Amino acid sequence: MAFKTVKAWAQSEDDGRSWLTFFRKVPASTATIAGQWFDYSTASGVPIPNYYASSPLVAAKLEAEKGVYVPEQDTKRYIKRSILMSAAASVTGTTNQNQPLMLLDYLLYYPFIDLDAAGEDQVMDNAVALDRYENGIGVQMMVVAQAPTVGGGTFTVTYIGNDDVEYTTGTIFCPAAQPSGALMTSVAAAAGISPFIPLNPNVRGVKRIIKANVILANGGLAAIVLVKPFQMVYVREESRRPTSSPTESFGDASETEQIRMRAGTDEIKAGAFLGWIGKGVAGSLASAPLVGMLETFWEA
Amino acid sequence: MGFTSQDDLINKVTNDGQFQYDVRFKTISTAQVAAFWTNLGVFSGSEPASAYAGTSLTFVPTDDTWVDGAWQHGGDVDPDTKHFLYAGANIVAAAGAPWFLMAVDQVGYVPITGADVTGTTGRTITMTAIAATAAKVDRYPNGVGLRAFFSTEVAPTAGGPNLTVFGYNDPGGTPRVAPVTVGFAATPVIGAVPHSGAAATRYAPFIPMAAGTGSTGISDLTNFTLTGGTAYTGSGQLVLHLVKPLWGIPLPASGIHNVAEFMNMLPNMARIRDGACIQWLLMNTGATTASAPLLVESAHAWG
Repeated sequence: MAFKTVKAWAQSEDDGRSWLTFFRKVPASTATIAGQWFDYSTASGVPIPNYYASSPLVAAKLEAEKGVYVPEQDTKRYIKRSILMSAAASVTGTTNQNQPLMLLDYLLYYPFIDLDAAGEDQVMDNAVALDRYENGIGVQMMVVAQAPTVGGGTFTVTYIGNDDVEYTTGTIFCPAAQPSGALMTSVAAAAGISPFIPLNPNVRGVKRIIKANVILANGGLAAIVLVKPFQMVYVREESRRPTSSPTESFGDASETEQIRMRAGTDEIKAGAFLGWIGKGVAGSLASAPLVGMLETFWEA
Repeated sequence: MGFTSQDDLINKVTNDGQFQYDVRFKTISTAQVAAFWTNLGVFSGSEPASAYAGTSLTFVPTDDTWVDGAWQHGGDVDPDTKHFLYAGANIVAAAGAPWFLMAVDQVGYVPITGADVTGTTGRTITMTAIAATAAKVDRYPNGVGLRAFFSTEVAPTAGGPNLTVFGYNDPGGTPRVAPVTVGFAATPVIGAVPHSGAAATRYAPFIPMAAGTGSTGISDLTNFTLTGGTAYTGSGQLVLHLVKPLWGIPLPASGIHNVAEFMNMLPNMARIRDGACIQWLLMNTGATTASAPLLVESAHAWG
């Protein structure tokens, strides 16, 4: 039965229709670039790291239980509350502060795009299609490095939009060298200022990808991931306590209670693989643990 | 019952005296490990450190008369219902931040000792299923909302087995098993939830539950198997807890007193059932240093 009242929402707790998920992800020690987004699903910790490891250029899905775990249900599941904190990489580390974070449902990915294959169409195999948000509305593309890159490259992506029309993006610029797990259109430089590939005018989302074409070699490998963004939160201050004077403590918890603090909530569809991306506004996110809780409810 | 309005709540609190303020303490006397959850019941404080006594694999119900010590939150109030109004907490520690503190009502526990810790074959738990009577152990009728987790009372040696089977009955009495294999840590320190930590296949704080009605609660803990990986050795003691999560608050830094106000949260004002045996779980992002004091304050009212 759908939630129609505050009472019905609260009843979920009394009926045991709630789940509390803890996660802790630690990016590797290789520095990420200031201003760059990072895909925490690729980091070690809980849940286990996701490497986008499957056949090159073949559309594939991630397994729900390997993302931020929420028990599958026969009824609709919703986000109730999220709490996020970011611990510093060291007692003097501050570069993970002021970090925007975004919760995503990872829908489909196309791995191992060769970023050195300049001038070559890398055509995708779409044997697997979207099974959530099938109309493509709200579905975005993000490009995740699967191997360290050299940087400075450019590329385009050809895709089918939500209106079933084929589009080719404008030229997408890659930022400077970056480690695995970094998003490659993210640095506020000549091009990308968004974690997602900018869509063509009047396109509301993506159904599938046709091909990628590297214009200028960038080095490295990448996956293009189709994602559905849920919410953005912001962790202001890193958690740390210096061991020498001054020894005051620093830290912040970002807490979002959906119904009261946002105009509604988001459904977690069956099979959803949940994960976070974060932006290192002040510098590298390397070795800085992201920890948090995701509370979810589901209908009777 | 419950409060019919904010006016009714204010009247109950100010005129009828149906209000209690508490401050609780625990000292995390043993250093904890980064990324692990900790059952604070093993540490001394407002209530003494629990030994989780009992016969291995036999369920021990707990309520506010638990001999190991339980927070006295005002006694039975039925037909009224008792609710948290707010809670605040802080920890002072040189390392370990940020933390997440969770209050749970422990309905009971299963001691696991000797060969039941080191063994790699299936173990059967002796327990009378949670029913829907007026007994304190049935305060969550048929186990609706209950969750399970393991903790360490005495550290086993080495090892790091997998929980390949975790069997329970859901509130309808249907046998269920956890849908995933859950990894246990090698030599978890006292208090540690062995299936937490940063390694692969760890799930915490609670053991994952079957989909659908299988995840609405636990009426009966039936069996488990620790096999694969590396078996524990030594003379450790684990504890399997059956709890109802009540509330949780983040503690972002050492010495920062963080307060959660439950009046306006949705859903709000977590209920303290008659007989509730309130315990604490703590998530350590870093390695919490030994002798770290935890302070929790809260207020609750009934009506």
